[in-house]
Amino acid sequence: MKVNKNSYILAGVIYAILVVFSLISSAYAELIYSILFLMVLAQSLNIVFGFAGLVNLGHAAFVGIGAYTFAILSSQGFNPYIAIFLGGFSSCALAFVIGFIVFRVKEIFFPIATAILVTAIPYFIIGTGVAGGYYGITLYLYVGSVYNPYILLFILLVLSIIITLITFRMTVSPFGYALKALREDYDAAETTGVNAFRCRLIAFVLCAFFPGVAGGLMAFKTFWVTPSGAFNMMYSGEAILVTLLGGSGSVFGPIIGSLIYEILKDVLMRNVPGFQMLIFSLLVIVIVLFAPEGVVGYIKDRSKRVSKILR
Amino acid sequence: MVLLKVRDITKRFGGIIALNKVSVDLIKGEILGLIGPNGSGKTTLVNVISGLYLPDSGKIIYKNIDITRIPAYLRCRMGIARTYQILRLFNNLTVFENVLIGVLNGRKYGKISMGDAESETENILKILGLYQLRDLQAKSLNVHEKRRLELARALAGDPELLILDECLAGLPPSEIFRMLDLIKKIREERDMTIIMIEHLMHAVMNISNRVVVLHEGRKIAEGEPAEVSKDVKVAEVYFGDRELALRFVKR
Amino acid sequence: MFELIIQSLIYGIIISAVYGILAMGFSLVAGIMRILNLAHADFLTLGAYIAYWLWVFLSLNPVLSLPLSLVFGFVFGIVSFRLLINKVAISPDSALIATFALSGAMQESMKLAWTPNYRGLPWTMGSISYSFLTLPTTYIVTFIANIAIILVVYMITFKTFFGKAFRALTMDRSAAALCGVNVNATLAYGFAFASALAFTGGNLYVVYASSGIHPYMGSGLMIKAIVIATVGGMGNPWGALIGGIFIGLLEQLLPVTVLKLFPTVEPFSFTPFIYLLIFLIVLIIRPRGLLGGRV
Repeated sequence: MKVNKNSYILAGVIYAILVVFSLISSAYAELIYSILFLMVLAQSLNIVFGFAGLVNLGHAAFVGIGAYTFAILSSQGFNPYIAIFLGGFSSCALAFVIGFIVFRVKEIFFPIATAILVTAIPYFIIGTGVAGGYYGITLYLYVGSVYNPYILLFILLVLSIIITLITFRMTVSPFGYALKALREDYDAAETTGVNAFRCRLIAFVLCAFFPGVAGGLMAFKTFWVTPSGAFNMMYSGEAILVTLLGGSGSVFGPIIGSLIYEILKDVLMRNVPGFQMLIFSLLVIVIVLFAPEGVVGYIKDRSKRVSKILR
Repeated sequence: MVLLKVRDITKRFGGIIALNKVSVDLIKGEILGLIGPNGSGKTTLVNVISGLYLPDSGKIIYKNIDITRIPAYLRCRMGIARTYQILRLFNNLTVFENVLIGVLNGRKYGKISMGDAESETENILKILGLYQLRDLQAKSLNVHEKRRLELARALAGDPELLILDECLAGLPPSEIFRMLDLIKKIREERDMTIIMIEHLMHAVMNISNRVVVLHEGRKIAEGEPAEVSKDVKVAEVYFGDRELALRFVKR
Repeated sequence: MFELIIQSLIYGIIISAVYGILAMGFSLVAGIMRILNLAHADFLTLGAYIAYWLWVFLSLNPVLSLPLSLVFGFVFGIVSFRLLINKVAISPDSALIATFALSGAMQESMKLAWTPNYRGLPWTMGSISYSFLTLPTTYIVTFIANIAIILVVYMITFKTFFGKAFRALTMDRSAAALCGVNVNATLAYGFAFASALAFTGGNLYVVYASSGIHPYMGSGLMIKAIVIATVGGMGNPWGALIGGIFIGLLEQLLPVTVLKLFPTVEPFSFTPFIYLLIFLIVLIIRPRGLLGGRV
């Protein structure tokens, strides 16, 4: 089975549009940056949530670890651009440890374990005072000189393209099928020969790399990390919302979801500031109740031809 | 040659003893019927053999290897496949994908290319008459197609031991004959050993080489269908009444 | 030093009663419905606010307002069950996300309605002293009320039909149905019962919250509830009580004992991290929890 060529074309078109818009003005570049940032988070979440069917509430923890790895390394003199990627690897390490412990027990513990990660890790930082403790680390001195918003944008773009390619491949690879089988029926998958533990662990570790790097980028861009800023549940929440909105389990779901969401967010911020969080929480509830398949699901129901492209 | 040895398997759930020192030998190439009233432990035994449950005591030996503690997915790759009483298909995946997953993770795990796996999938779908439905989602099939898909997925991994858990449940008589023929054909062509849990007496007595009867977690009878159907203990367990059982057996 | 430890011990026991009630409701729902209500601690927050407003407008002290919190909690539980929980109960993943979103929605609504400022409830009845120990009288009164509530819960769970129905549902849903349990109604009442417990817990919590209550306090409390429930055995409300004692004591004793060995560590900020470690350790060595989970 091969990935439908048109899927690649559609993805290419979307990315091209994003690139073009980002070159128009710096305001647009900011918007595109936000879109891509969320896209990377959502697409990586999709690997574990959409494909494997695991509710991962801890994406924010990976962002935070990535951000702090970046902050600590670059304040010690590392090249910031390398530090960003090392942030990805430290997130993978965390995912490996947590996954190793949690995937051995009942599935119900996974979401809450990930949620606890996000809220508990910052307390370690605040309590012990490492890495700047409560006040965090300011990075301008260390990274300000090499900062270039367009390079960061480019890195995000490359990340997103990589995840897109990986997830395209997963829709037709044995690994991807194994994850989907696990999502559909854990026991039946096991008796059909799928090594649940291993597949889940690999998926979880894989999906942690990208938010880790994104966290590093976030720290780079804001020149600052704090415990509450880096480990903000918003990252998890938005990623989930956007994946659900677009359609989980589909490669285009998170992409479409991020586009719609960021634009919506912009509109809401201008008109009803202070209410966005409430609206978004309610939006998740509405989606779960009435449209669990998201936008992509809606489109797939209506057109078979398009659904072949949307995968 | 004894393919599978079940030795003194005991399994408890809280206060209930689902299996009480059950022992069975399975001879290669035979069809073993596993019968008994509801709740007698048939599915539990199958779950222990396939690896979903770990027994509290006892051993399972497959091809001279002790598999008692080996995880379910490894048992599948060693050649043990099963179907489920209540269908457990990969509902949102297509018929083709359901069987493909079986092929990729069965005995040929790691040794088969995607292209070959796809051809193998097509073969199996054709044998079971599901080829035309291959791009439909599993959940949209009707009951007999689903039962065949469940069987197809189990066969996909090229197993040596196939366990069928009430694969005829819910099927109309015409489909039952079709399935039974299919099972016989599979056994012949692939030299398969089969354990079959069934409630339909005529089906299981007809097709089995030997029959094992469970009641309240214990094996109460074992032997060829003809002998077992004349066993008073077995009749009693089904009728619930010794008088009736005696009269039934003497006829 | 010794005095500090005893004082912390007593305080720990007092606060564990509230934690116990919070975690009991959470575990109960986990056991009968197999879903984790991530908004549970926000139910507690809402109960706390109700107690606060009853104090402000009707001068009802937090013990007198308990029956009202209970009723509000029950009603809120029924309503949220009907509108949301029941609809998503079929798929545990959807339910989890829905309750996660519900938590966000509740926190934001409370913030918008009542501002994010901390609100304290200045109820005092003096304090009682015994040798080196001093305890606000309000704490003692509230603690007694707390224990009374736990006893009532015990009576309901073991002596009434509903209680038995809940326990049956935890063990085997179809068997319970066959024994004449109206499963849907019982699930609704179970959820409402847990909700009532949460609101009541909030009502009690108001007394102990020295810096006051605020809309986002549910997040921290939810983690505690989850860890307590896991330690005690997910789905086992009595395990939740034991877990509550464990965490309540740990929370108070740790800063004055072990953490004193690490002077650079700020104890009250560090302790929440310990919950993560405890959670992971429990999963490694005994995922069923102390009393055996029922999920």
